[in-house]
Order: sequence, then structure tokens, then C-alpha cells
Amino acid sequence: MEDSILSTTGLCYSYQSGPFALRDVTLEISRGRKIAFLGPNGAGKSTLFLHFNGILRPKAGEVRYDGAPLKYDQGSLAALRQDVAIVLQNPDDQIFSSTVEEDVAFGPMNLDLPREEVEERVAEALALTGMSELRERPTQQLSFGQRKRVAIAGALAMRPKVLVMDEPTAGLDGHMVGEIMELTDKLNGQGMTIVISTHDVDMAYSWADSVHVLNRGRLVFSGTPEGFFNCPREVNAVKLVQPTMYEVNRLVMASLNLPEHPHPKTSSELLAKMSRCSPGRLFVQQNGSRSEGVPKHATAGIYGPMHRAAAATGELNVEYSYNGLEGCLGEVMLGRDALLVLDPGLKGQVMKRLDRLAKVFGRQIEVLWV
Amino acid sequence: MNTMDEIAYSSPFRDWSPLGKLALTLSLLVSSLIASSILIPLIVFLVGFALFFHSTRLRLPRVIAFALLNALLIFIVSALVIALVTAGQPLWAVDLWVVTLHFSQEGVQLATLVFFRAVAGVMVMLFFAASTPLPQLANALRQVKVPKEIVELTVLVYRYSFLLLEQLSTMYVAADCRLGFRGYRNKYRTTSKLAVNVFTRSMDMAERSQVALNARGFRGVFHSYRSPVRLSIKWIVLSAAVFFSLYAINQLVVEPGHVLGMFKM
Repeated sequence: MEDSILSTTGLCYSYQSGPFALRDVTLEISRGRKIAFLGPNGAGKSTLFLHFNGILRPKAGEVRYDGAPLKYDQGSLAALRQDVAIVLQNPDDQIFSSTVEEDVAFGPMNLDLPREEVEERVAEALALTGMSELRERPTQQLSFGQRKRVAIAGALAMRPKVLVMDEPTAGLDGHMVGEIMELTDKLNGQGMTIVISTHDVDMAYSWADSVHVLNRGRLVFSGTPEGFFNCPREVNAVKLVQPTMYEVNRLVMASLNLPEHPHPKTSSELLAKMSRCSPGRLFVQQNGSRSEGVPKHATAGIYGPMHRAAAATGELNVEYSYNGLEGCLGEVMLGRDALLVLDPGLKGQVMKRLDRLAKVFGRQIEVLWV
Repeated sequence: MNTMDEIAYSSPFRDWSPLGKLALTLSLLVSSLIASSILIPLIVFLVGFALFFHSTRLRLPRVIAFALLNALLIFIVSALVIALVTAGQPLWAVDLWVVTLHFSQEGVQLATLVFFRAVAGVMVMLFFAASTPLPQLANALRQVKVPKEIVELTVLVYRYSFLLLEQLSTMYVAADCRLGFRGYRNKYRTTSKLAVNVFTRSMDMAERSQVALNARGFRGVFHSYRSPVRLSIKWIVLSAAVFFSLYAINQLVVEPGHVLGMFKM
């Protein structure tokens, strides 16, 4: 039995005199995991999220944090909101201040922290979201993507244990989505529980450890992504579609008369399942410049925001500036050598992926830390 | 597009004390208003222009430039009216067949003085507006014990006015794409709908913002993270020195005998 950090039991909620927005929702969110909530528009995902940090109070049932039922007095709510931070779907809804740094400092200042700690948290949150250079910029002069990052930085400055993000990738370009998902990997690697809602089934399928599916205010599924997408009827019933990788695997395996299982979640896992050649070597380094032991022909990729600036200025020559882990694993599965330039906090995520390739697909990759 | 807000944020004088700049602006304004010599408004105009030029490199939003031209036109017309209606020593007359317009010497002098006072006043206020972001000024007002409710409301109104403008602009484009501004009747109908929609959307926005405030641990007070530079004694001395210098110059020009007499034994 996994340790749950947040849970609900028989949760019901309705707005004023309207119909129930949530009906009898019972679920558990495991500590330190990546959780995705899926469901059509109006399913109740955002309403449920607002229960997680006590913004909304259930009409029936209860919400538990760390095993204890939520208390709704001001002191308890302040403590809860420090631990469970929410990033709303529209960043404009949660940016109040006139400059970036002032908005990121909003939460820590409300906690009455000493000045030095506020400064430290603001600098850390801005660095994590890649907004350090724009810290004095007026918020109304930022692009939508930058405002989204400010909203996330504002939540991270609270140093929460659970980060809840309502559709964090909606309206963002591919690179920005990649950056945000890398950030969630990094935070998760530090032990933070990440909860997101999304309509992007491809992302949820490859990213989440487990999914919860809501439809018309009811929880219709809780379990692994494969478990949910294995039931096409349920997927159709909640107006979702199968992830592309899931469909490609199903159709290719059917055409080759091979079993669907195991289900690859990414293109590198599909290659691991199908490729006959022996894998190449994966060189991993944490410093910015290309190490001497790495062969020149090795394809390079970046995983994490730390070295991206160096890649953007041309100091570091890389083929995969975004989603470098996936790019490098793909190359390795094709039998080529690859170099992964890694942020220190992401080592755990790499090991997790390598472990899955070994255990689920029987592919051992030679990893050389340089 | 350079908005006044962007210009203020990129001004080299941004980090000067907002209250200091306000004190200097007020001292220049008052000096110009109480002066009876045209020289003082001219000096104030030149100081204001130099500061404004250095602050903005004359990058002005089109709407502000247009407003300034309008204001200039109003000043010219007002000065002409003053020159016409002020009685005094006849200077010259313009015969328009039906009527003859007489300009008096006193009228022309007063009109010129009023015109330059107005232009100088606008210039120093422009310098202030183009070098001081509004949130900085609002937060600076906390230092002189302006009630925090007023300060916080000012900052929030400032922040949300940009969001509402953005919404309005999106709705305007959407309406325009569907020919909402075709013909006068349509134009008025669409404009009224936009106004109603902006109002309802502002209510929605307020509701969502309350949720966000609660989620971010708001406890009824907006703390100021980086307070603007305080009003120092230097600024007060500078403002007072500017005021008294301009006053002395004015007196010297208008009544040189009286001022020189003060220094005689």
C-alpha cells in the first residue's frame, strides 16, 4: 500500500444551487508521484483541485492531507496552502503584482518569512523557471508563456510538498511544454508530488505514474495510464482519444502478429521493443562543456534547464535541446552512442527510465558517467 | 508599441526616489505658476524638456503625442482669447471687415505668460509620468502614510486595467471580424455590447482572483517586496533650492531695484 499525501472520501460539491459538480469522489494521491487527472471539459477537475488546498469546502465527504482531515480555520488553511500550492489554468488570474519578482515574492511575504529567506526563495524559484533575467520586468509586458512561468515560480516560492497545476501546458508551444514537463520531472526528483490536469492524452500517457479520470463530477478510473487506455470503451465514454503511441503499438503489433504487451509509452520504448540491433552507449555528464571521453560522433541532448542557455548561445553543440533524454534514448536504441547533458536533480528520472527499459523491455543500456 | 508604462519602466530615472521626483516636479510647477516673468516658465520648460528628453529619447506613444498636439492647440486658442479680452494699451488691431479685433499690450503679455506656464507645466508633468512607474509611486505613498487601502487599490486597479484592456482588444478584434463596426448603428450597438461584456468579465476576473489570492496565502495585506527609494533630505533641499532660485530670478527680472535694494546697507 503506497503512502498517500492527499485523499478524498465521498467528496461531493455543488456551486450555489446548481447540480453537483463533484459526486462521491474517493481517491488517493500517492506521495512523491506524478499524477494526471483526465476528463472532458466540465468534468470537475478544477473544482476538485480547489478542494486540495481548502479553497472550496466539500458539501459532503472529506479531504485528508497527510492522513488528517482538513481543518478550515485560518491558521490551518495557511499551513496547508504552504504545503499544497496551486497553479491556476490562466496565469493572469493569479498574477497580482506589477513586476515579476514582486509577484513571486507574494506568497513568501504572506508567510511573514525573514527578508533573506524571501530573497532566497524568489531567486531559487526564478532560476528553476528560467525567469531570473526578467525578474524586474513588469508583468503586463510578458508573453503568455512567460506569465505561465511566473505563475509556476510563484507557487514554487512557497516550497510546497504538493504542486497542483491546472492544465499547465494549455496554450503553450512545444518547447515550452517540454520545459515545463522537464521542470516537473526535476521537482518530482526532489521528492515533490506533482498533480496536473490535462487534455493532452499523449503527455499524460508518457509522463504520469498514475491517472485519475473524472466524468460529470464522478471518478470513473484510478490506476496506471496503461490500465485506463486498455479499456477503449471507457476512453470513448469520457470523450478522450487513445494516445498516439498506444495506437501505433497496437496497430503495428497487430500487423506483425505480435503481442501488444508490454505497452511502450515513448518512441524510445517502442524502438526498445522492436529494434533488433544492440543498444549504443549512453554517456552522461553534468557539466556544460563536452567531456573528453565522449566520442565525437555521439548525438547530444540536454535534459533540464541548467545547460539550455549554453546550448542556445552555441557554446554547447546539441541535437536535442528539448526532451534530450527521450532523444538520446532513441539514438541509443538505434545502436548509436549518445551524450546526455544533465541537470544534477534529474539523475533519478534517468535511472527510472533506464530501469524501465531493462525490466519491461529487457534492454540493458551501458551508461558511462563522464 | 511604446506605452507610457513601458517608457517609465525603461527610464534611466526609474530608480530615483518617486517622492523626490514628485517634490522637484511640484517645485518647478509652483515656481512657474507664481512667476510674473515669462523667463521662469521658459526655464521650467527647458529643464522639463531636458529631463523628459533624457528619460524618453522622445519615444512617445502615438496617443500621448496626439493628446499633446491637442493640448497645444487648446493652449494657443486660450492664449488668443486672453489676448483679445484683456483691456489695456492698444498694440495692434486686425480688421475683419465685420469686426475689428484689438490686441492690447497687457493682453499679449498675459497670454504669452499663460501659454508658457501651461506648456512648461505639461512638460514637467510629462517628465514625471515618463520616469515613474505607477506602482512605484503608489508604494512610495506608503512612506508618507497614505492609507494602505488607497495604495493597494491603486496598484490593483493599475494591474487589472492592463488585463481588461487586453480583453477589450480581443473582443474588439472578434467583433470587427464579424463586421460589428459596419455602419453607425452597428458601431454603437457593438460598442455598448463591448462595454457590458468588459464589465461582466471584470466581475469574473475578480472572482477568480479572489480564489488565487486565497490559494497564495493572502492574509489581508499586500506586502511591498522592493520598496522604492525613500524621500531623502537631498531631494527636499534640491526642490527648495530650485523653488527659491526661480523665485529670486523672477524678482530680479520683475523688480530689479527692489531686490538690489535689499542688499544695500
